[in-house]
Amino acid sequence: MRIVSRLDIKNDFLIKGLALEGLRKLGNAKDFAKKYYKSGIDEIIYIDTVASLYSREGIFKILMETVQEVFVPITVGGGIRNVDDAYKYFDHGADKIFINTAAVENPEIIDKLVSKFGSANITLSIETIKDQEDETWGVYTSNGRDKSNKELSDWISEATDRGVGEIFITSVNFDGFQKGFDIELMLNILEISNLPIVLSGGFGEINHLENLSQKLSGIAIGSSFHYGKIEIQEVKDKFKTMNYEVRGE
Amino acid sequence: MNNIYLFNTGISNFLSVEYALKELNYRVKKISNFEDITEESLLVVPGVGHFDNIMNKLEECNFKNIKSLIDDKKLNFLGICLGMQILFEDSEEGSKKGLGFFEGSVKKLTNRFYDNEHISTNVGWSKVQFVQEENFTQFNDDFFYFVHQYEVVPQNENDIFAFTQKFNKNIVAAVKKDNVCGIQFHPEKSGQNGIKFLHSLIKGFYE
Repeated sequence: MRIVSRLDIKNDFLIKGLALEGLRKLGNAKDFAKKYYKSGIDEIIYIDTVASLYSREGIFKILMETVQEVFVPITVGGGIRNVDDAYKYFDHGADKIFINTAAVENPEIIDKLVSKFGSANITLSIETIKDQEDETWGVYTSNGRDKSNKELSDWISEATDRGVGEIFITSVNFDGFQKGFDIELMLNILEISNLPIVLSGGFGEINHLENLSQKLSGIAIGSSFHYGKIEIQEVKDKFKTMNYEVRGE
Repeated sequence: MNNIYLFNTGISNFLSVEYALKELNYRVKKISNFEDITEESLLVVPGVGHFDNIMNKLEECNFKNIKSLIDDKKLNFLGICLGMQILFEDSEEGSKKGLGFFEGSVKKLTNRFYDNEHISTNVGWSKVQFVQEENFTQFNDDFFYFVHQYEVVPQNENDIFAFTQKFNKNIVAAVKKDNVCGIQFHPEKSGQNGIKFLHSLIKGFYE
């Protein structure tokens, strides 16, 4: 089980929406990444929340600084519209990139990225919400604001055929609430996909790890680490007691 | 010790490799053409990308000029991830010929692993077992970071330097023959263990 720290970034800053509070600036993103590295994190995900609106200079700067001191994988995304955008992320130190909006709007971009960078380095980020009326899982973009015309399992099989190497899935309605992971979503996606799955959204207490599946490739944790509520080591220790394979002592 | 040459493939996480080497106080010279290699040293080719793309890049950048230096053991070669896969004869990922320093092919993981239970990308941290040299058994059972969809299948078992296990089957994690070494995992992204391993590996080239 990979423990991934998810850092949402606006300009140079780590931000996180805590339930009902709106977005808060928490500090310099690189400092957080470095702290997590020293504490044994397995992977860092940088999500540039404003890249598609403004320039990427902020995230490039953070990335270049982080890669000098953080020797675990750094996955980066936000606002990638074409091969050139992806190239620039790699050039500034990304080890892996993820795409969401551009792929939903124009799935051919996946084929292009895969032929250039190889499947293993292309992660598909999916934001999903279950429709309470017809019980289907909708695919969203722009941090859960915009609903696309795609349905989760169709979208996953299309993106898999086009060659994405991994799925990073966020349950929009669980994200930031710290009430536990969306287990229904987890069971559903493990059923429909053979790609490695990283589940994001909802973690807040150690006992939230109890209902997870060994088939998950990783979990992403944001607020609980950012606010110092739970330590990385506590998460790893808990997984070890449940006989998961986790890195570290 | 001379500069370590780090080849910028144009598409790679070469910054990560550069800083990992600098962490060990090595002097790193980034090159984008093999003609810039003027000293006997170590060449590192990192890898993110696609087999054919990187082979094209090697051709464009005059790899042929330095091949004999490697053959004559004047230049050590370390390939990481895709940089390892190109050391073989061919790959199912593309149609270009590889460099052929090792006999064997690069095959898609799904050929052995894909069914309802198993996944198609090997991504994450796995324990590695070193089988070739005493010095490296200290790293046995350490975790290293992997991210790949293709695996190398060497013809000669003696070339295998390390294994990892996935779904109870072995995957070749590293190959080594004299002055040429290929590593499937990313030591530059495997925390302090990875850095320590890189150090042992590089020192080994000069002993």
